[in-house]
Amino acid sequence: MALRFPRGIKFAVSTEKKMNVLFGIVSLAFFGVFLKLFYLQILNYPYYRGLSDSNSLRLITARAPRGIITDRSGEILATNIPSYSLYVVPADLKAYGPTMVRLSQILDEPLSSLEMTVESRRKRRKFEPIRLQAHLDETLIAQIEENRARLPGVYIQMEPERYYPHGELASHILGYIGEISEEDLTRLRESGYSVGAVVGKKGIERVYDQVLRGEDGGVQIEVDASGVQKRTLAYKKPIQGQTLQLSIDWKVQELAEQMLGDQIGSIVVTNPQTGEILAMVSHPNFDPNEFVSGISYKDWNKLLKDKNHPLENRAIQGQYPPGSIFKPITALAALEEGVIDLKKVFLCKGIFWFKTTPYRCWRTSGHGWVNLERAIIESCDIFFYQLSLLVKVDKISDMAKEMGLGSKTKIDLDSEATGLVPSPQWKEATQHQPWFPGNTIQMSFGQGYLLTTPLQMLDVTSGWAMNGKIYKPHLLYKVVDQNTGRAVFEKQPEVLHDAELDQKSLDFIKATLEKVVSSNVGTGKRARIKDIRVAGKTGSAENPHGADHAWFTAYAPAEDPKVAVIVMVENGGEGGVVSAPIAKRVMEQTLGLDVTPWQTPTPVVAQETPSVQSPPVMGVAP
Amino acid sequence: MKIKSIFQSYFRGVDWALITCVLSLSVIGFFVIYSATVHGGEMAELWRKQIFWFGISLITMWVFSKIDYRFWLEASYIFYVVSIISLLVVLFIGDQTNGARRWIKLGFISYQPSELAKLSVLLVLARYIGSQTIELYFLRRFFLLLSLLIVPLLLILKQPDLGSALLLIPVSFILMYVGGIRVRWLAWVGLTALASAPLIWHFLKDYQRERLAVFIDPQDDPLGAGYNIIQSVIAIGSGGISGKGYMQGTQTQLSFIPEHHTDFIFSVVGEEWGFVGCVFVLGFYYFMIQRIFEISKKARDREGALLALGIAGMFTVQIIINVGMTVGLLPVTGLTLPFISYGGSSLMFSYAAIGILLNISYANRRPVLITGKG
Repeated sequence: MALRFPRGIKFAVSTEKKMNVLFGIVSLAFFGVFLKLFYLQILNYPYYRGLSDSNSLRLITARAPRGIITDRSGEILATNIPSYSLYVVPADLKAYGPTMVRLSQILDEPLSSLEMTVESRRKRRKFEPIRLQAHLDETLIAQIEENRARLPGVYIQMEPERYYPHGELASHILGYIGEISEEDLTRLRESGYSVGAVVGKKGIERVYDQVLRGEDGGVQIEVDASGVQKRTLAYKKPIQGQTLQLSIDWKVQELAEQMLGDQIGSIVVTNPQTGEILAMVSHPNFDPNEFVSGISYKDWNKLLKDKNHPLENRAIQGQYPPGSIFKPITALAALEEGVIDLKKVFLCKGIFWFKTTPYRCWRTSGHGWVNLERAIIESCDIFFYQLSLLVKVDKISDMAKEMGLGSKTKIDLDSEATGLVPSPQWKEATQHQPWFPGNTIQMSFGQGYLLTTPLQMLDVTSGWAMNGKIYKPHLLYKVVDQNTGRAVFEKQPEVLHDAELDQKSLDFIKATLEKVVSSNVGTGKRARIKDIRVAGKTGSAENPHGADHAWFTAYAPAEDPKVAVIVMVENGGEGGVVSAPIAKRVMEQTLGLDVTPWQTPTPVVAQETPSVQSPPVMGVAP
Repeated sequence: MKIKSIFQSYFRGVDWALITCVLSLSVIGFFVIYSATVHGGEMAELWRKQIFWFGISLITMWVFSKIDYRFWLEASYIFYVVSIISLLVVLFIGDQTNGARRWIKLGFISYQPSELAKLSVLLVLARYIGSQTIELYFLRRFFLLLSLLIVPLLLILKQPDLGSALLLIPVSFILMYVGGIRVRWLAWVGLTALASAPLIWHFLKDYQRERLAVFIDPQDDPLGAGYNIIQSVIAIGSGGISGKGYMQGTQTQLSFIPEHHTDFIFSVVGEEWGFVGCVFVLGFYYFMIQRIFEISKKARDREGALLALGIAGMFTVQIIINVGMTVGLLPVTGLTLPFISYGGSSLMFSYAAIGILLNISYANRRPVLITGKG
């Protein structure tokens, strides 16, 4: 025996015996299974055969209500309302023809379209209920209940339905829901999503779908041969998804939306000390309620084909030349490289000839001799043209990238655009052309190939306000447990970029940005708020689609920034005239001050437009 | 008749009974997988894949039967260290599915470290217990053995892979018991483990707790895990003595039972082939285990014997837990039915184990070959 132990040691049980004991246990286990099989298949065969033959077990899912979405104060932005739907179970449609005819009369729907819906699923999933119609009204429900005996296999079920009480408010943030697509299904199958599931398609609804969706429940019922319910075998309560509290302040959001009105554009408001988004507006917008029970093909096409792209969230998807609000970046790059000091002056005669190309300043009469401070306050373009010929373009690119341009802000929304910070290498690779000094000139004041989203430029502004620290922008504030009402997750501020800026240069820029608003010759004076130090910068970005994009970016109070805001009105004209007054009122609301009554902006007199013979700006969002 | 004699000597000493058993089970597997998946849309081609894997597995078995099993034992500590490292790696960079990290992607193949860990713990224990005799009477040796088991066990539980952990524990205890560790100590460890069950509960993921809760009362979750058990029991019960006939199982064909080609494949057997079919399949398994016990008893050395016994234990636990689950005796653990369930890598591991067993039995008979008439 191979397993014999050395002589001289006595064992209570020999190895061979132990093996036999083990094999005995194995035999017992097999015998146990054998007995259970005997019990199931011989003794209880009739019972189980009956259950399986009549296929009498039905599973009716009870959809879980999605989690509620509120703003930071608890104002409800998305909730659920009860809705009644009509279901049929194909396997139970015993009298298929007559039942369908009756249903088509009651629902007032053509028989062919009802049959098409049922036929498509009849073969494969005979026992899975099919939703024939949602939103049954009371008269319909009464009619169906009356005819219950003549409609075997037909069920009415109450289901929670998404409802957005504020309609279009914050629609780009909230997003919308819809039936899961094939593509999402393959991506999400392992997380427990199945065919026909309703999921978030865009915005917060999409990004936080797993938190919001909850867990479906259902009933298992036994039906008799004619498909009529006999008894309920089991019930599982659906569990509602968790409540999401967003960082936005719905009052600021509402005011910002009013301020923008019918103009096309975007407004974003943030707390630069945390990265919390307090409002995010993109106009035109849409009503997410339209998507809830499946948007019609016609309406969907209308939204898609609209030339103003209402589904696009301009704050993160729109890529625009930033115009003059980019100038402080060029200035910081120049100061850091040491090519100029604060005393350096250039002459602005209203026009500047670089070789044979004329570059104009927005003030055609010229600014005279200007230093950097005046060039920013009065937004002199020719100062920057001449400055750009001294600075290396890579310096400007590096500074822009360090402040987060050309990369995603990583906000908790989908489909964010990256923007573009050009460089000679980039141009060689994509345009197969060398970088010309003219390209640097254009870049120095935020034109040319440079593209940014409004949120990126807001991040840059926050970076100035916070001495180089840029916090990751986010919309999530808290996740609250539906049952206990307690916060299960609280979003903490996260530093996204920590730009190393020369503090002396930055202090100069910040002081100058304050003068943009406080000085009487400043382009941003319309954003002035009484007793509050506001710092800001205007921009009017030339683009091939018409009038300039009106930009204004600001933060306040300058000594301890509580709010940063960016306003961008597509083809709105002059930033200081169109956007600055909007930013002022949004900041007043955010800081809890009385909001100045709205006056129509004074008509545009002076054009803050650099009339440059620039190549067509590529990739500008319409 | 030279060719014939070469042929004879080549195949002499091969445990034909064992091979017949596992081949029969695999063939049964093809038929059941075909029935369970051919109408399943995207799964309709799975049975072809399974046959492909079967081919690979046969080659694997042949290769393993040619490698002296002593090699695995000699290298067991290396395997052990490698598997511990890969278990650590998978915790950090593994692919996450259903909230568990179990897989490492190496190019186009995915590799499940817990699979290797099971084998390497088995090898290490067989090696350690097999090479010691009196020393096992010392308590510290016992603790060393326990720690050899516990380190990978905790890592596997952390993933978490309850099924693999459930396999490891009984197999290790069987080896320690037969190897000569005092029964009293084993009993103490067992009792301590039971007493610390609440602690283990703490380690489990929600879905695992759910499975255990559902086992205690399937009605608790009639739509999730409980649903599977209820439907599986109905399927098996409705099969009766002779079953509803091949491809005729209504529960199976109508997709009432989820995962019926992997975890719940035995309910397809029960529904379509009835009591007779079930007993037939169980009979093959029982006979297979019995053969492995024989190989163990006749092995040339202690280590080989323990290795064979460990493999027997592993197969037994896997079969009983899986079948027990489908008939409603045991909780849902995600263990598949060896040789029958769909799945390439588990089929390969099973055939590799058979290859090792063949080598153990072959080594045992080799002297006969040498001194035979030749």
